[in-house]
Amino acid sequence: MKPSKKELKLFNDGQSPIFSFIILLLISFSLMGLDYRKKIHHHIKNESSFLIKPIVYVINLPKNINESLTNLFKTKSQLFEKNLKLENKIIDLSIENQRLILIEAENRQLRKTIKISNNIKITTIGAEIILPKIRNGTEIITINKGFNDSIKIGQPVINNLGLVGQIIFTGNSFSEVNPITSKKYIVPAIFEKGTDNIIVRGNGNKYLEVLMFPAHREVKIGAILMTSGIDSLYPKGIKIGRVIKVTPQINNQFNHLLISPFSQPTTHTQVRVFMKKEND
Amino acid sequence: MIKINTLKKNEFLTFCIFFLLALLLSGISIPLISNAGVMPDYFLALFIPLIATRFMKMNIYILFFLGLIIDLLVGELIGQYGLILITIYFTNFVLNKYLLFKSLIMRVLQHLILTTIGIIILFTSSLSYELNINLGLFPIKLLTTFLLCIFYAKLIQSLRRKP
Repeated sequence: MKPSKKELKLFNDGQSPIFSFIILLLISFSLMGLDYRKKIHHHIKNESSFLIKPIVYVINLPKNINESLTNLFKTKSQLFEKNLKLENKIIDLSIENQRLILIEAENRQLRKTIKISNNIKITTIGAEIILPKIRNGTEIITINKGFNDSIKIGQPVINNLGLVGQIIFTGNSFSEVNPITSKKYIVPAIFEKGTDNIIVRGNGNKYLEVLMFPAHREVKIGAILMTSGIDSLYPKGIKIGRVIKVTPQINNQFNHLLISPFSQPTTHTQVRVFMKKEND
Repeated sequence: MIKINTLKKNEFLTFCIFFLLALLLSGISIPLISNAGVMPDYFLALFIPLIATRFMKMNIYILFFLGLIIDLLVGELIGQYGLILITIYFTNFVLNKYLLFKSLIMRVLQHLILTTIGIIILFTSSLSYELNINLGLFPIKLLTTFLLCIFYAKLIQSLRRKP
């Protein structure tokens, strides 16, 4: 016997939301597709950064209070000790700098002799990594410099260990950096010896990878990758990471390279953002 | 009438507090679950008990709008949380139409089904649109989100019982 419409309504007598559900489902898919292609999320987020600012402030509040209190109760001897350490570091760096100045002059002379265009001069700005370092299950890097400090979307971020990421969002007083291990991160690279121009991308899981590296090219575990600079966005020679695993692909024509980055978001607090580039 | 209005006002206030708490927690690394992949999905864990208990009688359009706000504040792709919340709402409607959740175990199962569906949609949409998600940590993420979801459900239940 066929049940009547009334009998089908068992425990829920509310109006069926099927029509609304289908309409909203279509809208969701359209929005996701549109965002994936046109990156509207970043534009909207940039326009509404005032909404995120209080959250960043509240999250950083305990850390800031702690730092203020620590600074307040620091003893004179501790400050002297720190000062001494920094002075020693300055002396070491200035010795290293003298050597580099000589090498740079030689390099410039050689470039002139063999008629190669000059290197790009870069201006950088220092920034500190602040909280949040995590956002809804995704690792992010937030820095304390933003639009007011002339930070712009797309600028590369490095530290003393190597490449950190790229600016993807700028608020007035803070910015967000896409880490190099993110799936949405791609950078042209070259081996330390200057061989093999390749494209390196993040795998979304603390590593980077080269999906198809020609099998006939030699690559060793421990080989260091650097930025190649062919994209005119990243300066040449910034360390990216070290090859830790080489896996042959099914067709044996290519290898898959797994790269461990030199810099992790947890290994540093200070970074530098590349501001502008000028030719020498 | 005055009592109903006060109840509605209280529910709205409770919802706002829970929402802000989830917003803050999603940006804080808590020991033991500080790994990004292991961290529970705070918004999913909050909205499942709200939908299951018909808190504030939120309809599908309000949930979609709230989903878009979540996407804007903490999400990576506009429409992802909107999709998750409307699917959970619809699944809950279908479940309530054909099944009766009376006992505690039944209600826990209902929350488990809704959490699993939410996490599956989160993972599949993240994989499709190349967002950062670790597929290997799916069971742990499901477990942490489900436990938080049960905690929220208990909290909401105890708040509702309060005179």
